[in-house]
Amino acid sequence: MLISATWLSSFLGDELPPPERTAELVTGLGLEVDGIEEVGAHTRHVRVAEVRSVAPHPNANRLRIVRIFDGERELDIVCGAPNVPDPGGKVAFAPVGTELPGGLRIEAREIRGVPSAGMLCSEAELDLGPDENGILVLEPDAPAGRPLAEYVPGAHDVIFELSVTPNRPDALGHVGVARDLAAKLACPLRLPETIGFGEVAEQPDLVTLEAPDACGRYFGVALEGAKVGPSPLEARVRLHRLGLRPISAPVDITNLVLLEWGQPLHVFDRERLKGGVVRVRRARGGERIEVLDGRTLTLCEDDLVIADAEDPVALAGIMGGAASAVQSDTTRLLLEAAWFRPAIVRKAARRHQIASDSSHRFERGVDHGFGLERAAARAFDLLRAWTGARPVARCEVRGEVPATPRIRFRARRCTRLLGISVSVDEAQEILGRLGVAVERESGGDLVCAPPTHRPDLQREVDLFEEVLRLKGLDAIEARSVVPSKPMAAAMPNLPRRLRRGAQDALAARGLLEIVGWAFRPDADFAFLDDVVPPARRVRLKNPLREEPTVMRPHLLPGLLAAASNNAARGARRIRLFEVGRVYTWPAGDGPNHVAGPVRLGEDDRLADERQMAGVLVGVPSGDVDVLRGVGDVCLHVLERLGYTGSTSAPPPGPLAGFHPGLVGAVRLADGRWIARYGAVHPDLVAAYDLGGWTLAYGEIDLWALGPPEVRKARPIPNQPGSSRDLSLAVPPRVHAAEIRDWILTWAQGRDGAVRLDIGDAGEPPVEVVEEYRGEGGEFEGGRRAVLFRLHYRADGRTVRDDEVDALHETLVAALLAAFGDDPRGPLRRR
Amino acid sequence: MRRWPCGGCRRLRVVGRVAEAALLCSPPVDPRLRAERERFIEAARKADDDAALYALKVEFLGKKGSLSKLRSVMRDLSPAERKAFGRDFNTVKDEIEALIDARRKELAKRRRAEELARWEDVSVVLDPVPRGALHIVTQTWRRLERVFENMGFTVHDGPHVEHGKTNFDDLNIPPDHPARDMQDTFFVVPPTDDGWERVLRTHTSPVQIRTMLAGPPPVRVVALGQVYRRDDDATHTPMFHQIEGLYVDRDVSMADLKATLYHFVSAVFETDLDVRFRPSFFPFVEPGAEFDVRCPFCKGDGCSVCKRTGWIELGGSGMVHPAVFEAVGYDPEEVSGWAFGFGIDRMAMLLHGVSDLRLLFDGDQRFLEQFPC
Repeated sequence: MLISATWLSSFLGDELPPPERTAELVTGLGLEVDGIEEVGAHTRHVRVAEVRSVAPHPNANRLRIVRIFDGERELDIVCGAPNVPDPGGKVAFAPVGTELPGGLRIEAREIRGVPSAGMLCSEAELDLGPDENGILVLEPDAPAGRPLAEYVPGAHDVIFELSVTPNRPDALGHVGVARDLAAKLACPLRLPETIGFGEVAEQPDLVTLEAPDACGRYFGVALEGAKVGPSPLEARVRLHRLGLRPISAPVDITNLVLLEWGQPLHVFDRERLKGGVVRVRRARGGERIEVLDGRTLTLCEDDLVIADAEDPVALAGIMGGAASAVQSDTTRLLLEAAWFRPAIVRKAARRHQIASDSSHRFERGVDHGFGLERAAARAFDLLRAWTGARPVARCEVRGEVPATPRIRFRARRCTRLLGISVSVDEAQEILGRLGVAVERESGGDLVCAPPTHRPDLQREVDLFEEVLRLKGLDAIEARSVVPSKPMAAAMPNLPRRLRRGAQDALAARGLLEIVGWAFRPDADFAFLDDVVPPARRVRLKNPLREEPTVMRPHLLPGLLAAASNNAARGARRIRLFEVGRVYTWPAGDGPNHVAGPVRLGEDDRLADERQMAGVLVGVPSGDVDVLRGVGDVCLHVLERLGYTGSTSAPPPGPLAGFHPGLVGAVRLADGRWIARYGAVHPDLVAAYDLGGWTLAYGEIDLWALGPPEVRKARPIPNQPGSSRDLSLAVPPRVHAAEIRDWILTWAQGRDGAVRLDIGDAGEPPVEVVEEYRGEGGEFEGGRRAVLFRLHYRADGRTVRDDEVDALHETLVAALLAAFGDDPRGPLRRR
Repeated sequence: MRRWPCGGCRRLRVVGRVAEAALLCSPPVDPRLRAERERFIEAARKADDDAALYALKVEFLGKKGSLSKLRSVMRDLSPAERKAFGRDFNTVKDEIEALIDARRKELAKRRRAEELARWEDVSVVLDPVPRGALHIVTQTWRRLERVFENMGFTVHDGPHVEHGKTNFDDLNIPPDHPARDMQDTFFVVPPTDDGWERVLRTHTSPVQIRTMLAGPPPVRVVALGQVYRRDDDATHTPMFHQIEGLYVDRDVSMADLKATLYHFVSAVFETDLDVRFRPSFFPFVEPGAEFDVRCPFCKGDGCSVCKRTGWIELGGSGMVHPAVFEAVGYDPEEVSGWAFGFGIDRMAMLLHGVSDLRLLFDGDQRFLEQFPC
């Protein structure tokens, strides 16, 4: 909302403070000033000049030499405009030295051999309007020599840009801002005088209200004999300064009153209204109307329209129809001033996707009382004055308007809530200044009726805010209170603890955290179709771009996109991680995962939001060690979080996103697979332009973790144990971890004095110490040699070699037997 | 003086220094002992490491050592000679032990001097371990959490895919109210056609509702996390991070809000900073106010960060609207409360001097690794 300082000050009984101070005051009232701009400073130098004579230019057909009188002397000006008035006419003259808005500096110079002592300017050159066809011709009675800034109020002005919050429709007009400012400055408010249409004859059938629930008030005033021409210069400049294009007097008047009172108005060409009357009614389904912006709308039964005897001629409160618009030959006018129910206007504006200055104000709620009446009267006065039209008929109809609330104001409560002292007298005085009707009860409470231009004042707290606004928020002194009873200790927040722990652990491993977009194009997740079918993805109804967009069901695409960007920028190594949520609709196999302090009944309707940690490590060309490294990172993270587990073979079933043969997992001690890691699937590597890179991805299901148990100490053995090496030829696709886990499980199920246990130096009971694939990877038909080291010990004594040998051999025999008929091939001892 | 027990020992122990070994006395009379002694002194001079010294000790003093063997000589001596021999034998034995010990110390001293004379250039690390980093949004997030936890706030979170009701209606933003346009909303396609409105939460404020529904006042929480608005330009990203604070109790006032904000900004920026309010409108508070903080970089003198105003606009705040209390079943006549909220991303940019918002979401390693931790 742009506010002109000149216009604003015309409503104030006192002088308007300097612009910066005014901006401070207005901002302090809750109408935030976003910008202050001085405009038209040059119009102090541009003067009214009288044309004395016009002579042809000796060297150019299209130029003329205009002799003007600038109030002091006569000067010759070379001018190319076609519309130089006859002698006696008045023009705008920029003398030598003037700097025009475009940066053009007027200098004395010769034009085609004839000296010119300045320039006659067009509206556009002076930045007073859009017209660039010919020079600005002023009224004949304009006094020659007068600076334009004085002759046209508002030519030199300061424009404030206000951002008005939706609760303050009253501030969407100059009068409203002036009202607040006057209340703040405690100075009188001077509203424009109006004559109004009280004397005009009533014609009851001029307006018929068929939807009293949607239209609270409607004034119709018919005028005849209008001459549609341009508005006076001052009005045109004002509109131009405030960002509107002057069109014709009737249209400009509605716009000016809109900017003055915040009240949208409309003027119909009554000639084009069938029957010459209007009806406020609901649209009939399928009715069509072409509106002023050129679009043809198909209406529905919820739309409120202004219709003539037959068809809709305006979408109520939003936009007029093209067919009934005022044109240059219009002579019969019908002025509309109305109050429409905000929700009706808002729904229709959204339905038809029209946002107009009018709908913007109706949606927020315009004044249905004094403001509406005065705005209508003001427009009526101006129509008569500027178009010469005479009134012939009027009609006012009333529907339902919101009742004025009666609000109890308790000063003590105000003091308690705001933390500043507010007396009853002070509150009464302040509210009175704001136009609130206040009655004082014997008990000291105030009973308040807010004015109709403040629909936002509904409850006691709204009045507290008014008092606070006018007292100024700086009156609040910082003062802490103590809780009325001890606050309960915060309950542990496991997701947050896991998140922090995982982030710290990953950063400690030299990885860099990213924050990825929580939504991505659906196409990015095509690789998940088997695991998370499209129906379970959380889709956005109105994504930013047209492509189908979903809340990410997986972290990998975000990490790959970041990796791809980094690779393109020349990174030699990718080391990224993210800890964040993935989103799916619940599979229906249990309560969904919703983060938060409480689970509401209706939360079953929400999505699963599962916290995951994802790691992406890449080198331009690497081997299996990079993949195992990420497995170790995953395990390390879990260990730091307080869980015990080990890297293992992957779980059965599809693992989307991974290379099927280069994948592993982390299993917790309770057997659950909690993390997966391995090579990124080659299709994805290619899709993200990362061909040639070795990319290892790991992800940890943080959401699946319960609270970790506090670790208990294990006794440290003080008698030596004994270890045995076992070298095995392992067939392809058999994981060393499977063998290790089999051994551990077997050993767990055995009683006896000797058992598998940690080594003397703390090594795990079963270690993989070496792996050998032979020269060129060829070894016993694709097998690899894996050297295991098994640590044995007995309780409370040194273990004997013979008992270890016996157990070890039993174990090896059982192991070979167990894997003997494995379809992948038998294990062999080496 | 009484102190808290350490849990282990109950008294301090003083450990004395070990006494130095005795020095040589007069030489022995017996020629065999004398010869052994000479031989040892000669050999000890040549021994220049601990292993050689140990070998000498074994050679002379071991069970079958040359000196030990001389003990058998005593059998053949008269009692008087035996006494003198015995005394000398012990003296030589003590001497040898002392010499070995002295020599050992001398060698250790020499080794230490040699070690200390070494010099290497360690001024440059040729292959440093890559540093990890938390994202600056995370770092700022934690900084804020820490400050508010120290002030007695509990940290909560809520779902990102939220009910339209919780995100709007319960927060006094009814359907068809223009305030609903203040934040352009992402709507979610329902999984089944149940007519239920789901949105990406446009602010952290629904956590207010969830917190108050979880139990009676007093309530003192902050909620941090992602929020989503349909905005994408140089200064807005469609996803960003917000922190929400809520305190509800009897007699909570706007003065307490101001005090809390003052304590919080001073703690976050680690310097004493003024806070001021400007009236504004947020549907779920009344009165509502934006709050500004004195620019921590110029202390109010005016700099490029605060655009020469001396103040930095930080966020919104206000007294919880009675309609919000009614939505969660609190009695607005009984309790009052305040709430505030602001963007974590912007705070991170302020703290770290980041001018381009895009850098936060780009994942550029050259940016990320600037903030190791």
